[in-house]
Amino acid sequence: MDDSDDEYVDSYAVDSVQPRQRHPRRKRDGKSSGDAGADSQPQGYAWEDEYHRSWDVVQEDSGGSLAGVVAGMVEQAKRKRVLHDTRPVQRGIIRNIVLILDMSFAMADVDMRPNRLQVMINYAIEFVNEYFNQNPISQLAIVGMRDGIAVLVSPLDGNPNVHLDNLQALRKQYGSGVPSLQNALEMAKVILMHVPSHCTKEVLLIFGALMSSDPGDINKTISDLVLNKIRVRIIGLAAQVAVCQRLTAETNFGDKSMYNVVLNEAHFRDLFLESTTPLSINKLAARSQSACVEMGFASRVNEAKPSLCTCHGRLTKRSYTCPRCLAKVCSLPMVCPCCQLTLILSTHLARSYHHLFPLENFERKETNLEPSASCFGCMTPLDHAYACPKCHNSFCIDCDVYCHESLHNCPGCEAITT
Amino acid sequence: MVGGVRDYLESLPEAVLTRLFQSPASCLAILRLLSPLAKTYLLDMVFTDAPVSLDRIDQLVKPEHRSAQVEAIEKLRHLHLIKERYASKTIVANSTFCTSLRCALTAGPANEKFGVPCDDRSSVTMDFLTEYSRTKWESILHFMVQSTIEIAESLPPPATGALNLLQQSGLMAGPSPTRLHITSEGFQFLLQDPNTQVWSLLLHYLHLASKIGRDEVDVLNFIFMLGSLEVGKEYAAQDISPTQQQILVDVADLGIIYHVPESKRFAPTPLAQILTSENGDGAAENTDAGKSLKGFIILETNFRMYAYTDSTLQICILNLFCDLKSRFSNLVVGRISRESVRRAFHNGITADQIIQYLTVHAHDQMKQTDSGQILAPTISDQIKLWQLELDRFVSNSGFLYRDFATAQEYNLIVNYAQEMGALMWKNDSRRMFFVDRDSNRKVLEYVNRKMTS
Amino acid sequence: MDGVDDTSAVLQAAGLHQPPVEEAPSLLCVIIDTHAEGWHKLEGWSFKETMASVMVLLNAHMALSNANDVAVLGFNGMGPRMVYPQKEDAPLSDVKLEGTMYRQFHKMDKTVLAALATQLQETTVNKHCSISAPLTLALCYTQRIMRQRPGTRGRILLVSVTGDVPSKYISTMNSIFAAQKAHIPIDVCKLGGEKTNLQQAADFTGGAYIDIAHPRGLVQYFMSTFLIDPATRQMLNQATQPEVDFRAVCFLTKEVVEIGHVCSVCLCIMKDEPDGSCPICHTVFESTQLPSFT
Repeated sequence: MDDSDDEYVDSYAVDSVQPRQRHPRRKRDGKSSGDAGADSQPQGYAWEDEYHRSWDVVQEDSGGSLAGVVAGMVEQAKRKRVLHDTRPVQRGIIRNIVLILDMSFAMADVDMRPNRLQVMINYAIEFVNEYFNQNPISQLAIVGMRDGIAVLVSPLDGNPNVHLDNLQALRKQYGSGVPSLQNALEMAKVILMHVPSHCTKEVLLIFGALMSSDPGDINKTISDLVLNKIRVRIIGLAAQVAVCQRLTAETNFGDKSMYNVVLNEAHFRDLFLESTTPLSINKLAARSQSACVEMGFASRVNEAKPSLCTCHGRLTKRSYTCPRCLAKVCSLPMVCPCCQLTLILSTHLARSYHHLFPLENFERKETNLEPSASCFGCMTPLDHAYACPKCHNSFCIDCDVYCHESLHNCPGCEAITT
Repeated sequence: MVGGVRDYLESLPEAVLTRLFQSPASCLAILRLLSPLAKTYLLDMVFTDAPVSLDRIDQLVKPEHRSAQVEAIEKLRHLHLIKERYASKTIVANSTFCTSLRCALTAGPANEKFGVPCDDRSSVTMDFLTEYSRTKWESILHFMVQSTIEIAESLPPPATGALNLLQQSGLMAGPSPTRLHITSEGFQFLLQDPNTQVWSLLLHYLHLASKIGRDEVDVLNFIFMLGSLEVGKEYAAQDISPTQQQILVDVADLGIIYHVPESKRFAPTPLAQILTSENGDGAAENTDAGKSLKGFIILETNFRMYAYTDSTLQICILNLFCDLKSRFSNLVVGRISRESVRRAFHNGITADQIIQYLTVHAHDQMKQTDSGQILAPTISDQIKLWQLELDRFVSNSGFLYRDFATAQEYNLIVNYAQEMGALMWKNDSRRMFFVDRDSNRKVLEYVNRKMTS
Repeated sequence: MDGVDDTSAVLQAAGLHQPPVEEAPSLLCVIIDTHAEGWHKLEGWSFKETMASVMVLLNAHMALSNANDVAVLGFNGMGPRMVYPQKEDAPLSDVKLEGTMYRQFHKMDKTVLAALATQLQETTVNKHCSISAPLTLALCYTQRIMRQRPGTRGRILLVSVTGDVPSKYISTMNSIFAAQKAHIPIDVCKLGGEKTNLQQAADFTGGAYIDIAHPRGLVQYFMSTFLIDPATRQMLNQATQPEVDFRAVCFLTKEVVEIGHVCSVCLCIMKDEPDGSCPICHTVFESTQLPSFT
């Protein structure tokens, strides 16, 4: 894998083992071109297909206007974003992620503006915010790959501000040297070594280069990761690389959807933010241990005079008190510095509940609407209705998106009184 | 943007303002003119009769926003909305204002008419009013631009009342109301947003009215009242005073209301609603007074400009600062260049006004940026830089020192002046230097000290 | 652009860069609790008088700026209902308008008062609506307005007289988090009922929480606290809540716990350590020994 010219041969080599692997482009396009469902029937390479021009798809309506078609396409795109898997599955809620950022020469490429590195940092910042928003009791570490070694950017911590500061500091740097997958993964392994078994161990790798300069045998590292139950997700920026494919497949129990190559900046962002949703645990459950963790629910106090906190030794007025040893800490979640009790707020747990009890997808109503129909949520007159399968109220596409992406409540189901 | 009317109100004596405050409509309108913090203070006091201590006023605001607080209190005092009682270190709100505002907010009985609506079905439609106000208003603007360029299709000239106003306000000048040409104020006026335009014309009208002996409170009350009326409804004009009757005719000339002199009724147009809103944007969206208010300009970073409009008025205005290249049925293409912008500067238009105009009329597509900036910084900065080019001379007042006897003497003093940062210019060979005015005293003292020693 | 050139510095020096100070249009969503029993239980409060104060608040909000907008929702045992604005095609309630005040105020006040009074008459014995329902609706509506008129800032005022429905805890928290994400402050004006997670709602979203014990001076509370625009509030010293209760409730015994046991899979909170498996999701715990969180 030292040279990107090898890629074609490599993917062929894998081919002989796994016949389905024949179509390297398919995985890559799975999200956007919609041919992912055609997994079972053999298809040619993407370049063998007849070329679809974007204007072939669009048809003018009777009035010669495109407005209706365009509106329909916009709606479809919105809809695509909303459809989540809503089967109630167990998910690893308490997560530990090592985010590995490629900071090699490949990141200086300007196929994304202003360059790959800056775009990656922008999205990484967004990712950190969203990650801690969705997974408040989880932790994160950031590792960089540059000059053939792995550098620790930000240590394992539950406080987003630490990571954000460190990411901001990265902006001043330029991509240099070659990346080393093995070194970075080894470092991630060490970071995740002491994580207790009831938490997930994950690696999210942003890989801009097509090569890796490794000191030893990467296969050994991969099997180590599998042994340590570390799951790796990779977002490639250039093209598919066989070793990444194998890495993700083996660490994810054969699930190949964990390796994606970006199509454009928006797709990059989508892939990045997709990783904020906790992984489902069902396959993992057999091997992972569940546990019952003791936690303290602190109350917040506002003092008239500032006093020192036990965690940082800073003077603060707003603080939280450990219910067991009454030590004062300044931010949560945190492990009490005195009695080692995990301190959280009940709201931190509440933030994760929507992963466990997801809102069901609304179904598109095909029947004709009465002209006066309006959205149950925002009262906009309806063109196309989406109905909640439980309460059968109709919603507009915007409310549908909002309910599923931010709110996680159905206005109709809530309105049912008890 | 409503600075004009606020300044005008501030210039009024307390007695006049207090009479103005008797009208709830005026109070509401004045409230809208205030800054957010001033509104907060005022509304805080409206429902308590007790005086508020100055300490409380200070405590309410965080120290870092002290300047905003001082400004707010200052504004309120200038408008005579609050009074300070130095003895008890408290301030009280103007009781007339409080009573009127409370009355407006609580739906209490009003002591004057907010306009009496006609009971029967009105004959005017919203579309008609919008169209009516647009033609009226645009004919005025058109008339102003017409004096600069030849336009094939010309609109009928505005009513004589309006022409008179244009001449009196100095927006146009000329020997007779029929032969007017636009002034530099007039150019500036054209680029302003409708809200500012309407207000500045009305303020000129106020000045004019008070000159001919009309009661300015009457006029102001009437204007504020117009703003609070519901657009699209007809109102009876019987119960209003003769002065107001006359105003009615005058503002009808501007397109703010629709009024047929014989009939005893009038209907406010969307332009009237602009009167009590603080910025043009909001009002424009709510009322869509004229189609021209919808954004139509697309400006690229290479200074190319595409304006989707067929209105000759807008094209003429664009022509003031833009080189227009070609015109299509609904589109004009042009380019902003140094020459075209300088031409505008020579007409008295400022960079800020051009930028403001472009921002207000930017196409919706231009508004969809992540940065929140509608115009690209390159464009707006460049326009400003072009303006700076014109102000190359900077004048500073100060004092010139010369005729030094020895180089030593010269060096001693010039070094001192340099150290304290007072030196603006020096010429060592001719032993001359220039010191700015404020620091001159210190330099002089130093010279005297050295001379005597 | 920063650091590339010093154009902006030059312009700044020339006084040509002035950051515009503008007031963004704001939407005030008022949610009124119309549970008849709740109002009945309140001592010394009359619904009519309280609503008069609310109307003053609404009018004052509209008076602040032409671009401002309001929405009113009521909720009781029949569920949440949008009171103002009414659906576009709904027949305008035939209210007699006198020429005594701002007409838009008048129209709004009449519509709101009539609709809320009707809601109060509805007898809904032993039926309660959780605050999550009107909050969810209000958020959807606010989102719509923010979509339609970009730049609009939304906020929510909740006038509450009853306690919350405990079974809706998760939905309530979901809507609070959504509000926080969209920077919509939730102000809470509590007139009665037991202390609930409304306090957390105000705290999380940066809204104000006031527990008003006496009806006198209610208008003043509205004027001096709830009327102020969130942007302006940042300039002001606001009273902070001395203590916010963040304790959790045990899923099994419904007791308030300070130190509890949390299942790592379903995050249920238990007062006592369960033996062997989680009583909610039936996950088998591997070891009886409790590992630490990190």
